[in-house]
Amino acid sequence: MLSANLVLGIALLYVVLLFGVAFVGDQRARAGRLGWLRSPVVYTLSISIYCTSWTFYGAVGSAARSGLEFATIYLGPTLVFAGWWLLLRKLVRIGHVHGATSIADMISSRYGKSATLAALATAIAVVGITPYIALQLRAVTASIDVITSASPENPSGLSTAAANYHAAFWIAAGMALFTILFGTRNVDAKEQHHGVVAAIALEAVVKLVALFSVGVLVVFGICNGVADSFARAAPRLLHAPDAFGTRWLAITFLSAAAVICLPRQFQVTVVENSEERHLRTASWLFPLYLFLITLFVLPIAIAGLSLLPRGSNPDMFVLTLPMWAGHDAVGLLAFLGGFSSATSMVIVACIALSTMISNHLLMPLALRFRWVHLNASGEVRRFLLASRRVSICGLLLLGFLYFRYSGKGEALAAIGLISFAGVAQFLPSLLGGLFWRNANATGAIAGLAAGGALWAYTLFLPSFGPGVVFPAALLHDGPFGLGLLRPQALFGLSGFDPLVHALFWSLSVNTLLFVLGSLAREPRPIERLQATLFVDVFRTPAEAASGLIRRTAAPEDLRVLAERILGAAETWRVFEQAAREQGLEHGPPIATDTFITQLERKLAGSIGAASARAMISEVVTLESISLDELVQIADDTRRVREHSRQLQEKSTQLEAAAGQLRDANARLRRLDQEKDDFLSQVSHEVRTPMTSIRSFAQILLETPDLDPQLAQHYMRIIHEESVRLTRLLDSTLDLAALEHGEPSWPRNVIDPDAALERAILSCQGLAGTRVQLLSPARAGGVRVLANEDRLCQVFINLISNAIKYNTGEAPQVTIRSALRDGVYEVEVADNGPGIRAAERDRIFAKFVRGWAHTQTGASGAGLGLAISWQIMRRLGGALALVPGDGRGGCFRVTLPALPREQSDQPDFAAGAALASARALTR
Amino acid sequence: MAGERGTRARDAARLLPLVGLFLLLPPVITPFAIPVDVLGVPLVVLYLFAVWLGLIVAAALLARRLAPPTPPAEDPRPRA
Repeated sequence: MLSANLVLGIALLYVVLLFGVAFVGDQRARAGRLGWLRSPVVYTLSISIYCTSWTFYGAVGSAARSGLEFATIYLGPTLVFAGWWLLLRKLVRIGHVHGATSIADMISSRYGKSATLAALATAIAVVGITPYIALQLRAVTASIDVITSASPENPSGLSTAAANYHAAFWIAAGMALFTILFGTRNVDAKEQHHGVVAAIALEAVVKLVALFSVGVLVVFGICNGVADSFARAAPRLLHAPDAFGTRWLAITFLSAAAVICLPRQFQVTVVENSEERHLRTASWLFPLYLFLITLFVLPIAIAGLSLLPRGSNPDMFVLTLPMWAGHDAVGLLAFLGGFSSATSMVIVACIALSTMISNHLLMPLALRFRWVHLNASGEVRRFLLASRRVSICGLLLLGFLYFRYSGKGEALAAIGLISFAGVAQFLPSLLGGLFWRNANATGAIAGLAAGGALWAYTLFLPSFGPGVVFPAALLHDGPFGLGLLRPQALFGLSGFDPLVHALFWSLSVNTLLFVLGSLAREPRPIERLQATLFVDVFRTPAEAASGLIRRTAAPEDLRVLAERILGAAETWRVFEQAAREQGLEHGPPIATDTFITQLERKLAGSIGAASARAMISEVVTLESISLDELVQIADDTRRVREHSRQLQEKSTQLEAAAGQLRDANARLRRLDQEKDDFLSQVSHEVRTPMTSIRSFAQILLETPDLDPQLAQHYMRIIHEESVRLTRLLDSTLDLAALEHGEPSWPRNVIDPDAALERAILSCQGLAGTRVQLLSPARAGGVRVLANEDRLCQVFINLISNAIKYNTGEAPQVTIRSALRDGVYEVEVADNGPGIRAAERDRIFAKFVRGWAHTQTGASGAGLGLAISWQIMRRLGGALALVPGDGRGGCFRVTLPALPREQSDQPDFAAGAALASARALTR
Repeated sequence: MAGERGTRARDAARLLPLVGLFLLLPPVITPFAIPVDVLGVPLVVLYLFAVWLGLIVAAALLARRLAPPTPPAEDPRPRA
C-alpha cells in the first residue's frame, strides 16, 4: 500500500513534467524551431492516444473475461494503418488542402459547408465521446483507490469498495484545467497544438514502458516464463468455441472505423499532421506500438485470474498484480502509465470536441442571436476562446455525470465500445464523401441523424441501466408495451449481443438513408464543387476552385470581418501579402474571387468551414458558382483519360504514317538508284559506239592521204555505229514513253496471227539456214484490240532473240499461237541454252542481257525485252517467261481476245463497243 | 524500372489490409482455435500475433518502397 499523499505528490510531479514538455514544445513551435516536434516518431506516438486507459487497464480486463477478443480492438487500427494508401493518405491530403479543423468540419465541408450537418456531427460526437471520458475518470479514480488501499493482504482493489465520486470530480476538474491551459491558449489560423503533441508523445512512451514493465514482472518475476504463464490459463479462456463469431467481426470493424472517426484520432492523425510523409512511418510504427502494448495482456490476465482472489476486478489486474507481489515501484509505474493514458486521451478529446462545439454549435448560434458584437475587433476571438474553455468544462462534467449515473458494474471495454459505436456513425458519410461524387448533404444528414438516434436508443441510453433513463419496463417490454420496439431487440431481432445488435441497426439504417437521400436529389452547385475537390483531391489543385465561386465584396468589409477572427496583426499580414500577390504597392487588395476564397479558407482554419462560409456570406453580394467551369473540373479525370486515349490514337496514326513514309522513301531510293543505274547504263551503252566513231573520225581527219578503200571502210563503221546509237536512243525514248507517257499509237481490231506471220517473215533473213523456224499451230480467226505494228515489234523481238542467242547444235525456234479461255496466246520457244535461273526474275528489266552467257558475240542494249514487256502491258496483255526445265527458253505473250460477234464488225471505233472492249482488256 | 516497381508497391499497399482481413477473420482463423500448444503458447495466440507481426513487417517494407508522396500543391496553413 502506498500513502495517498505520496501517490498524489508523484502524480502532481508528473503533471508538472508534462506541463514542462508542453511548454517547451509550444515555445519551440512559436520560435519556429520545430525540429523533433515534427518528426514522424512524435507523430506516431501522438497517434497512440488510441491506447487510453481502456487499453492500459481494460485490455487485461477484457482478456480475463473473453480471451482473445481484446485483440480485435487493435487489429482494426492495424489494418487501417497498414492500408493507409487507400484511405488515410486521402484523408490527410484533404485535411491539408482544405485546412480541416475537425471531423465534423471535414464532413460539413465536403457536403457544401452545411452548418446543419456540422452541428449534427458535433452533437453525435459529444454524446458519443461522453462515455469514453467517463471511462477515463472511472479508471483513474479506481486506480487511485487501488494503489492507496490494495496490499498483499487485500489485493482485490475496487471490486467491493464504492466508487469515490468525490475524487473523480476533482480529477475531472484537474484535467479540465490542464486542457484549458494548453489546448485553448489562442485561436490560431491552424488548429495545431505542438506543445500538447509533445506532451502526449511523452505519455505514449510512459504507458508503453509501464505496461511492458508490468508484463515482464508478471511473466518472469511472478510466473516462471511464458510457457508457465500460459499453462495457468483455464482451457475455456483461449479455446472458446464461439470466440470468432459475430462479435469478433463486429469489433474488428468497429475499431477500424473508430481509429478514423474518433474526434481525437482525427485531430492527431489529420489536423496535427505536419507532413504527409509522416504517415508512411506511422503506417507500420503505429501497428508495432499496438503490437508491443498488447504483447503482455494475455499473460497478465491469466496470472491475475489464477493468482488473485476470486472476485478481484480484472480491469485493475495491471495495478493489483504488482501490488500483490509486493513490487510497489512497478505498481507506481503502472499507476503513472494508466494516469498518462487517461490524461492524454481526455486532453486531446476535449481539445477536438471543444473546437467542434465552439465552431459548429456556439458560433452559429452567436451569429444568429447577436451574442457577439461583430463590429468590435477581437470580439469573435474572445468569444471563441471562452466558448472553448466552457466546452471543455462542460465535456468533463458530462463525462463525470455519465460515470456517476451509468451502470455500475460495467467493464471498461464495454463502455468504450459504446463510444466506438457512436462515432462509427460518421463512417458512411465520411467514406461516401471521399469516394462518391454524388453523395450530398441530404443523405448525410438523414443517415447521421437516423444512425445517431438508433445508436442512442439501442445502446447508449440502455447503458445507464434500468431505471436511470429508460425504466426497466421499457427495456424489457418496449415503449408502451410494444415488443417490436424493445431497445435491445429492435423489430424482433433478438439473440444477438447488444453491441452487435445496435451496430447492425444503426449502421445499416444510416447507410441506407445516406444512399437514398443522396440519390433523391441532384447535388447543389456548392456540393458539387466540394465533392470534386474532395473526391479528386489528388488530381484537382485547390486553386482550381478559387475562381469558381463568383462574388463581390467591399475590401473594407472583408478587413473588418477578418480582424474580428484573426486579429488585427494577422489580418494586416494576410491583406498585405494578398496585395503584393496582386502586384499592388500597398493598400487593400482587390476583392477578387480568388482572394475571397483564400480568406474564407483562412477563416475556416479558425472557425470551421461552415461558420467561415456563413460569415463571408454576410459581407458578400451576388454569389454565384460557375457551373460550367465546375463541370469542367469535375470532368477533369474523364478529360485526362480522353486526352490520353486521343494521344494514343494519334501516336498510332503517326506510327502508321511514319511507316508509310518509310516505305515511300525506300521506294523513292530504289527508284533513284534505278534511275542512276539507268543513266550509267545508257551512258555506258552510248559511250562504246561514240568511242569508235570518234576514233575513226579522228583517223580520217588526221590522215588526209588515207587509202580510199580503208577510208570507205572506216566511214562504213562510223555509219553503222551511228545507226546503232540512233537505235539505242530510239529504244530508250520509246521505253521512257511507254513507262510514263500515254501511248500515242491507236488500237484497232486486228488479227494477231497476221502480225505474227509478218514478224516470222521479217525474221527469216536473220535465221537464214542456220536456225530452223517452226510454226506448228495457229489460233486462227481471233480478233484482238491492239496496235498491229507494236504487236509485231514484240513478236520480232522475241523471235530474233531466240534466233540470235541460240547456240545449240541444231538451233530451232518454235512459234505457236492458240486461243485458250478467251485469251490469245503466243509462245516462242527455242532449244538454246535458255535463261539462267539467276536472271529469270529480272529478265524484263532494262539493260539486262539474259543471254550474256551465251558468248554469241551478238550484242544488244538489253532494252528489247523491257520494251516488249511495256508494250504488252499497254495493250492490256502480258509477256511472261514460261518456267521451264532449263532446256531452252520459252516466252509467252497473252492478249485478251474479243468475242466473236464484236470482232465481226470490220471497223471498230464505236464508243460503246470500245468501252466494253476496254472493260475486257483491263 | 522504378515506375513499374512503384506501381506494384502501390497495388500491394492497397491489397495488404484485405490480406490481413482474410487471415484474421473467420473462417481462416477458426481452425487455429484448438487446444494445441507450441513451446507452451497456445497455437491460436501464436497465429494471431504472427499474422499481426507479418502485417507490420509487410507495411514497413511497403512504406520503404513507396516513393515519398509529393507534397501538397499549396498548404493553406502557413508554418509558425
